[in-house]
Amino acid sequence: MLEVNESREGEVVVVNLAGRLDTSTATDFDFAMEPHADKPARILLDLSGIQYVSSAGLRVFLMLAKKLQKAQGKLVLCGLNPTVREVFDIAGFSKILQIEPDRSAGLQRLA
Amino acid sequence: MGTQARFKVAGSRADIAAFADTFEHFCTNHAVPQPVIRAFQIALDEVLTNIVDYGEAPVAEGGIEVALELDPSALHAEIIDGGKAFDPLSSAPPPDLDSALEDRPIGGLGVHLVSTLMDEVTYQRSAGHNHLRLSKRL
Repeated sequence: MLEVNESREGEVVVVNLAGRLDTSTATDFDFAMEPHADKPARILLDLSGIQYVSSAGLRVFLMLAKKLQKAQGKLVLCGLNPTVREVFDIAGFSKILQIEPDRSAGLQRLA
Repeated sequence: MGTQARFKVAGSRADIAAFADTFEHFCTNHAVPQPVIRAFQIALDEVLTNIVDYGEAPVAEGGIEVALELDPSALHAEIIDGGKAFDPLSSAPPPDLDSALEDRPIGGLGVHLVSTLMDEVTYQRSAGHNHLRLSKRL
């Protein structure tokens, strides 16, 4: 299961994710992000409630980052637990996505 | 002597999600460390999804079987299906881990994740079934 909660911090859209990002939940995540993907939005994804991310979840992060880059938006991720961080490192995503340790560092990066 | 358990997973994505819960219960009941549980959940999600998406009629052959074996030093999971012969280890092209964001291809990371997160992955075709065995030290 996956919980997606959206809020605003000034101009920044903060999305809190909790649960698992795998084959069964990746489409829910994709669907929740769709309204923002083609706009020059500034988005902070807080993953502190995410237990693990499989390649189905990685696919959604990558598609979202590509779309936002094209739309001149900005995407920052924060709150990755050690397992999620390891998966991002293995996938080579740590080099192409902006990752901050926590929410306040993430908001600063988007300010 | 290790602890053993066998589970059946039917052929839908909802069944794979339900099995993630079953697997987690088994592991927490037997005090498997969290990082090992998470690594296996990711690997099992990849492997089971592949079988359901690309295997030929695994459900008609009695579903997918997952045999877990916990010994003092490692957790092993053997995934058995009656679909067409498919060795995920030799079938996957090397992943692109270095291109810039705009050039990075979508997908192709599943097998790379499984083989990196696990300590050992072996494939065998025997008696018309695929046997993929995953092991990770505790």
